[in-house]
Amino acid sequence: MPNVKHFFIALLLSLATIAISSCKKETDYIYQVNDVDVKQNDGDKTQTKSKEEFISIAYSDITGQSITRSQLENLLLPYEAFGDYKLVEEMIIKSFLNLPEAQVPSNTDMQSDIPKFVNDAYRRFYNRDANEYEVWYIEKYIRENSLDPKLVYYAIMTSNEYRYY
Amino acid sequence: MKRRDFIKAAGIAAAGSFIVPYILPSGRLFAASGSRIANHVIFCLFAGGVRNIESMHFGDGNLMPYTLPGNDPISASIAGSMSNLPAPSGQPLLKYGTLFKEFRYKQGSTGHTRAHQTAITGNYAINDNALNNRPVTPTVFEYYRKHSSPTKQAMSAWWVSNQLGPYPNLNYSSHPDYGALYGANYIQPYSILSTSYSNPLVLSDLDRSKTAGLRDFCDNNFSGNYVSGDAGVTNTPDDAKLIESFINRSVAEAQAGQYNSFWGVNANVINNDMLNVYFAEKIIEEFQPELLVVNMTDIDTCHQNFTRYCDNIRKADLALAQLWNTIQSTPGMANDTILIAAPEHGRNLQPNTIADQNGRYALDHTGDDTSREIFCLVLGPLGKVNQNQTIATQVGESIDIVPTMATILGFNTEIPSGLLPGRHLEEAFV
Repeated sequence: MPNVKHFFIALLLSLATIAISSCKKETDYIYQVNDVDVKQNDGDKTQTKSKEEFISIAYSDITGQSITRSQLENLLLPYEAFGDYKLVEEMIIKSFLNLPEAQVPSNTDMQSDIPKFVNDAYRRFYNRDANEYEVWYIEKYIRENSLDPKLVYYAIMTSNEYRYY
Repeated sequence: MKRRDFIKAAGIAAAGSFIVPYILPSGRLFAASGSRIANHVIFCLFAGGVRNIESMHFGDGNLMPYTLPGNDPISASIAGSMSNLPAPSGQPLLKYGTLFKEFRYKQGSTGHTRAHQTAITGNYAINDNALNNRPVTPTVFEYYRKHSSPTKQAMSAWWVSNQLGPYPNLNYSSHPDYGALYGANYIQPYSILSTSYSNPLVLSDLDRSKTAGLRDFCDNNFSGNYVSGDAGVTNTPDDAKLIESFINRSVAEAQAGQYNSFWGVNANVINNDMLNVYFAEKIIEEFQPELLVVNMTDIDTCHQNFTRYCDNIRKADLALAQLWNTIQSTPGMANDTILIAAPEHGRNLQPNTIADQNGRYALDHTGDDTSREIFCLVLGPLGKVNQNQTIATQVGESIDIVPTMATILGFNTEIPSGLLPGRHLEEAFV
């Protein structure tokens, strides 16, 4: 009989252990590394810019000036008149980047401190800081592909993130 | 199991094994034959509200000498106000096809937008949404791109309109199974040509490749995806490059004055309809699209000026003939294209109270029987389209044009049943 008693006691303890462990909240173990925010670095941008906003913001981002009403209307017309908006936006950006008043760093300035150039570009166009990986990758990409500042700006301004706020 | 039951069950199973693989996502049992009457369709909306009295019945003489035979002189009351247009030198267009002389726009508002929607969707827009919204039923472009085999890129389908307003919304619908992913390239030439993106940054192919690589990296680090819908219709990168080059070249040509005068017509005679068709010809020559819809609407001046309305019918007639000539002189399109032309709706029998300089009263379009009377012209190669044929009885209606285009391009059998109430205009075809 003691064996049977011991058996039941052991069984009850086992069941209790299983019940407790199955209801226990998951433990967050923190090891010897810093927390990493795995959320993508999109600055919580969820809204697409309207056509007017896109043109106005792009002009301002490139020239540092506000676009005039007549300039805006002039550019909105063909924007309305073609159905592939991405293509129209690429054409607008190309036009803005070649304006005399466009504020684009020289290649020499960029090459002197590419990480700074990348960070400045992210703040200017994405309104956020570039993370370390982005700075590292883009610096490498610029060096390997001999990209000049206008081409980097063009790539950033025609990306999905630039179309959102 | 009895022998008879076994044979019966085996038979059903065998039949099922044949049938099941052919049940398509669209719910159809069998795939489309894909057989085409021609490889290109151009649909010209001879729009703006054209009354059959002026177009088909020569109420003021033959205002469409490029299309219809007959030397009926233009009525004396308006003849002196007509623009100087070159006289037709060849055969009238009717020689190359079939004319449904008593076509009908049977239902729905006789408004331009609704009737355009009907012509492009193959459904009367009776309980449709607000004018400035997209149609709720799919457009012919979406049927074409989705149901052709293989599916087609946007470059193959174009919608060329001569006005903005609600017209840019007709290149795709809000239908949940279709939409921007299957839409047409939309263009309104007048606005594109009048404004330029000055001195753009020019990218070499290598530059494009490099910037695309960097953009891909940026896009991969962002959760939002700016694609079809918000971004309109999306072309492939290669097609976008071709279109951009075409637009830039066209703008340069317009700035050089090449769009001021063409077809042997003086610059002061050119109207927006002619410019629109001329630009559609450029698209045809450049890209040889399989499906292109172009409209003309300057005829709608008839709300205020009957004489100018008649003159604009003459200009639209000339433009239609030029469109046909361009098709026939474009390699890849000649003898392999069906051209369909039809107004979107007609105009009232009774005039309004506005008299023009010749004392002729203007016409509105408010839904009387006359405003539903239109024509439909189907032109195409000998051996495919019945030539020089006029159907003078009431045959065909606006919603038949989309099924006809679908049949010509061979995707008609792939369209899920219930979406298109009209029929193929078989009377026009051999």
